Amino acid sequence: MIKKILILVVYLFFSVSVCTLAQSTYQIGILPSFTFTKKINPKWKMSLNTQTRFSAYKGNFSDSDTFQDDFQYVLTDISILANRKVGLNTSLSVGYLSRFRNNEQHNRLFQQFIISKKYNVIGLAHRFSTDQTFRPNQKAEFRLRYRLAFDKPLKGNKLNPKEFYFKVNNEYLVSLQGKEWNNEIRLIPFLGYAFTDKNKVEIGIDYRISSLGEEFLRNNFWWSLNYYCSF
Amino acid sequence: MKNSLALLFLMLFPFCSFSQSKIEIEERIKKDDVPLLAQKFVDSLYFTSKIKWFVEQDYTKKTYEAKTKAEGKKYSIEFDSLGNIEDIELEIKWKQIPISTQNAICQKLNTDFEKIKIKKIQIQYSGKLTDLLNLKTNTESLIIKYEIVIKGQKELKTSFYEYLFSGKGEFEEEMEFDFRNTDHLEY
Repeated sequence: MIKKILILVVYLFFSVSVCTLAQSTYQIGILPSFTFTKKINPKWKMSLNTQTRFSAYKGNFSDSDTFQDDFQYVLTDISILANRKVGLNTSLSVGYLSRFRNNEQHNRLFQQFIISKKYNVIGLAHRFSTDQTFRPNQKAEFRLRYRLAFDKPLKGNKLNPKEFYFKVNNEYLVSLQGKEWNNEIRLIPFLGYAFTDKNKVEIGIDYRISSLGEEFLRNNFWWSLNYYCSF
Repeated sequence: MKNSLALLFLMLFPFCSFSQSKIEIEERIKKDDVPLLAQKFVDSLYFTSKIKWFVEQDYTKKTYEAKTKAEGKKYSIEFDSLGNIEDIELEIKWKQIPISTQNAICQKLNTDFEKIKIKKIQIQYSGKLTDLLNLKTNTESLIIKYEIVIKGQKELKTSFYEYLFSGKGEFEEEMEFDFRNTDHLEY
């Protein structure tokens, strides 16, 4: 019942957002990401991630003439994260992210609580996180995030090496900067390929819809390319 | 587009069944954190070596385990969540299993796998509490089983498995260790 209500609330929020906001812009680009994870012992692991954004096109949904080339490098994120297993399916993480954008460096601290379960056929992970971003000459931004990730092998019940899988990430974010609240929804379907259990690559479309103020909606479509390596 | 997104969202709440794979988390704990019943049972066995206590948890149950060494043998004593004794396991070598049982086990494993390597064998004793307390002197009235951890290859895929056989070598249970990496879901 709770799940049904949650689905309805989010669906209504999304529908209302798309229909009522006057300005709706979009940006299309690519988002390659590399994650390396080192298991220290059965409880601790460390991860290093780099992510870069390149913009390709932009425009406004309400006016097709606004579609234009926008080939440019946008930013690079480098983050490091320490994760400790606290239960059979649960773990806590803390991390630091450094963002390089327009000759500026932004600093972000983040904390996460993850519940991940492996079932017969699928994997499911709930990630609850908070982060604090500090940018030069700007007020600090505080975000609350929830992400649900789901994966399923395309063949058989269990993902074996040299097999494809399907993955979806769905994330909800609320942010506060100064006195301004914003929200964002991310939906990312991926097609993944496992070279081995610890070596995977994924390609998908990272769709982000965010409201900025009351009459402005931003849509981002990033071609996402993720590489995961654990050792 | 809105309908497609709603459909995708609905897909994120599938109804699924629990895996039969072996997934355990084992954590060292202090003696004081163990149910009294379990503490008393282990005290009654008069082990002289240090006893290490662990709590083990999988999707379905929580158990307590005492590990120690006596006369060169590795003992593992398992209790349920309330401290009731479940079984006592001793690590043994392949040649300590009776020949007829060895043959029955080999037949099953050779049928299931193309290649196997035995990693660990434990003889498992269960039965009445009073009989288990006399384990060191008399095992006749106890139920004997063999728990074998193997690295096996079938259809060119190698994995770790835990097999349980009766004292006569009859197959009872098989569980594959679940080591699936979930980094791509968590990051």
